[in-house]
Amino acid sequence: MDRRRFLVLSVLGVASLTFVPGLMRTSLAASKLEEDIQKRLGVSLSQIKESADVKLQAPTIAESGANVPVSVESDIPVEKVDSIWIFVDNNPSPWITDVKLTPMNGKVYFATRIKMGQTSNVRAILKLKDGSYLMATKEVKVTVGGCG
Amino acid sequence: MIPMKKLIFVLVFLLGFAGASEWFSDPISGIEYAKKEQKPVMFYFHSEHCPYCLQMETFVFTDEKVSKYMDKFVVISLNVDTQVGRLWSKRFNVFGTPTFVFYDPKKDTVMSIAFGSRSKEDFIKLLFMACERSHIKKC
Repeated sequence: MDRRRFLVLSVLGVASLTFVPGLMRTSLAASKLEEDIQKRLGVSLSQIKESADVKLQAPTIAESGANVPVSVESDIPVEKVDSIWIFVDNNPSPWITDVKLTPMNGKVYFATRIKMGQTSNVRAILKLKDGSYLMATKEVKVTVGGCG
Repeated sequence: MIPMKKLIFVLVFLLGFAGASEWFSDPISGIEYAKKEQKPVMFYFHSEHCPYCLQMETFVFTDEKVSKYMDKFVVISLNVDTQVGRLWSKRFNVFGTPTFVFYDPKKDTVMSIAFGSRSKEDFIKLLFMACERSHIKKC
């Protein structure tokens, strides 16, 4: 093996050791969420559109992952909305909750506190009565976690 | 067959804590030992099903730097689901896990209480601050 070939192979080796574990982690996290969404909603994540009609409020940095306030709101008439779903990408179980809405709710609004194991995207998904889905995503950085 | 979780715990204890700070599960013996060794006490309140405790045990306590700082303390590890754990968690008003109570055995006073898991760096800062509040001269 000549010197140039040795150097190229070394660089490739170091690069793969550095980047591959990170890529694998990302793809595993994504697949867990995708599996959960497919199982519960019956559609794939790629079929769900991001929409400004869904307003997701959550802190950018949560002091504690044990207690993260999240609210989902929309101006879409409640008669057109079937349910609200919340998922956290990196939680051991990404599904957090789903709330069925009726016209008696008055408007599309749901607020709760959730547990997050680590920094992750939080996703709020609206299932509309016409069978379509709309989504809002926000990253929440978790610095400290605890069990209450 | 040994459950995976138990196996991880045993490995963590053997690899991570061996030769590091003194760990006790009996508070009375731990406090007596701390008095004798003139060291402050860190109570570590944990529960079996709390992922944040597992995170601390797997990634933080096993770190060499953290372990070095923890050497300055006598650690009393208490599961809040046991009778002893419940008794002592009531005493210190521990409302969740993981909770770290830094305690001066000589004065029988609590120096500080911290709730929640932390990164290695933040946990070292916490230990350093607790160490400075104690009678130890070199922190």
